[in-house]
Amino acid sequence: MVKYVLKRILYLIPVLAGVALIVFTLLYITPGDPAKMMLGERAGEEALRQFRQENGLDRPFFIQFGNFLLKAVTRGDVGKSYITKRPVTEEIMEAFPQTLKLAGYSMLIALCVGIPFGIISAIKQYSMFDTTVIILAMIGISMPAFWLGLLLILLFSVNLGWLPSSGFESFRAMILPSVTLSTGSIAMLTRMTRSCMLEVVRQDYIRTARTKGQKERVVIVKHALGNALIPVITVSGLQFGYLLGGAMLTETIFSIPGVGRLMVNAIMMRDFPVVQGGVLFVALAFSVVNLLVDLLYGYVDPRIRADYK
Amino acid sequence: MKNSEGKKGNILDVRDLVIHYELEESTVRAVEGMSFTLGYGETLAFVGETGAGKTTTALGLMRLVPSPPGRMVGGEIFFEGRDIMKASGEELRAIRGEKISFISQDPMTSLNPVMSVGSQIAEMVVLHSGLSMRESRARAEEMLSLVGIRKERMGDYPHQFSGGMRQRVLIAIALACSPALLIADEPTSALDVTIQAQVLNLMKGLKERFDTSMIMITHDLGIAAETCDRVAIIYAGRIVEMADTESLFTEALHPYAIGLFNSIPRIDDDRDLLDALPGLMPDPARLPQGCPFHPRCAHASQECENSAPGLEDVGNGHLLACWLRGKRNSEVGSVAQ
Repeated sequence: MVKYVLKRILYLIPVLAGVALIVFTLLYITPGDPAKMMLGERAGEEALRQFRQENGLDRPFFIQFGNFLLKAVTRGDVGKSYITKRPVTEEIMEAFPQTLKLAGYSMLIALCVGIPFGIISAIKQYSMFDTTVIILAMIGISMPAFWLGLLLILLFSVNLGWLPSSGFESFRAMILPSVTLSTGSIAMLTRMTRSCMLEVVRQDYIRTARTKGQKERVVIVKHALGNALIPVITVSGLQFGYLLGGAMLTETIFSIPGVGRLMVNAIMMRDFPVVQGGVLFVALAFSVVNLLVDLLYGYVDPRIRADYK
Repeated sequence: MKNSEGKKGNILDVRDLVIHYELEESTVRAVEGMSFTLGYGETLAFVGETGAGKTTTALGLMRLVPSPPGRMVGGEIFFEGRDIMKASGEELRAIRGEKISFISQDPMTSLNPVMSVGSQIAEMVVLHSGLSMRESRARAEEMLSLVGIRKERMGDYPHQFSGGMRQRVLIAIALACSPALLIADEPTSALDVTIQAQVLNLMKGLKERFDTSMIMITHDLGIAAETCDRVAIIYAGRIVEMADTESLFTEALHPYAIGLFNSIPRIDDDRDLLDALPGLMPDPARLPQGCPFHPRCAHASQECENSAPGLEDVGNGHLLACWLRGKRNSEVGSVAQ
């Protein structure tokens, strides 16, 4: 088990290096001179050259990339923001708690709503409940977050005045953004749980449990759910990874100073180091969540546990 | 405890059982008026092709036909004198596993992949015995060694066992509460031939030990001959012939049964082709009028097309559903040549 975890952590290195290379290249070929960005359009030639030299911007691409990687790996240093002049890691670490809070609440909502709805939908296949849930899930998946967010603000903040439209400190303020962000995940989890349950309840071992004289409730919860949840866990992990990195729209709409909004601002200001660091961080978060999911997977599925040894 | 000690008569009495699958576009008549009895300690074989309604009948006896689309349309099932058709959900749960248990045909898919085999056996014991979890696990260990698996493997999961071993686990589950009736649905058809014999011998031994009555569903006449007291030949949801094993094997009467016997290869004859029955079993959603076998029967007459024959005694408890029963000797001939 320990060996497996170590192996998986080692696998993270090429993944992150690959992500770093892609992001670095994209930003390198993007038009716009970072030196001018930092010093302003009116800076003199001499000052610009000096800045490029100090920051290694006049060196060849691969040397720049090598330096970037070396500093990132040895010191966790992915550069300084052009705008605030503060280390990027510091900025991200400041923003991350808000993102984590938002993603955590959203995931919690998605799990608490999506899985039960999926189960009931599957047990009562083709019923009114099932049909309604399928339609709602379809809408949930198709609805863009920014649109839903604006509608929710309009209804609950502007018209009814029940909930604040921005902020992140109080629990009340987190309700609207969490609901907005979780909609897509709820829909995904509902559909996934439903289809997995439908597949599992037709299996022979469910019949075996019934021939034992087991109560229907126990058959569903113990025998069916235990098997149906395995793929649902994978999807939940992917969703959580996506929530951690993909909350840009929701964070912007609700003015939550998280990693998503940090990156949106950085992109608009051409603050390359922050964008770079942000993307790397998102990739790291995604990979770590996936690793945790795979470990959880082994816990629930003995067939996979066998592969860990 | 002996199940059949001092008990006379029939443990199971099924009358005119009708089970349909009601699909949107059609109704599948899986079981059409099945009647039979099973004595205490007796083993009855259900022999027939895939789709003849054998498994549906078996599940019907436990009221476990998946519904929807399945529906128990009519008939009566008396098990130890109690009418199963009228039993409540709770009564049925008490009967399933404890009184009637079921071994299904595919050992690879019939065990829960995420539960250890020990827990799956113990689950059965806990449900019906009132024993604690620890005592139930001890009982599960006992059952496991009874079917020839070391008790150290209690904590192992189904994927760590071979097909034959898994079937043994299923047998251990089925017999854990010493049921009065065991229904085995093609228990060996998914296994290698060498393993088949082992499993069949194990079942025979345990059946005697627990003194269980048994219904053995199979499409293999050899297995029926080896393990069963009586054989029922099933075609399109009906019993077409039923007799004790010996008289059926020496003197099959129904043209379908004769066809089945003729399609078995024999080592001592030099035919190039087996005598296969012409045609296929009818689609149970579109059964033909009259006797369901008449389109494939070489001896079909107008009478066979018009109405279906009932199951009647032709002597010594040999039951037959065929209009030819009176003229048999002159026209059909016998299989024993």
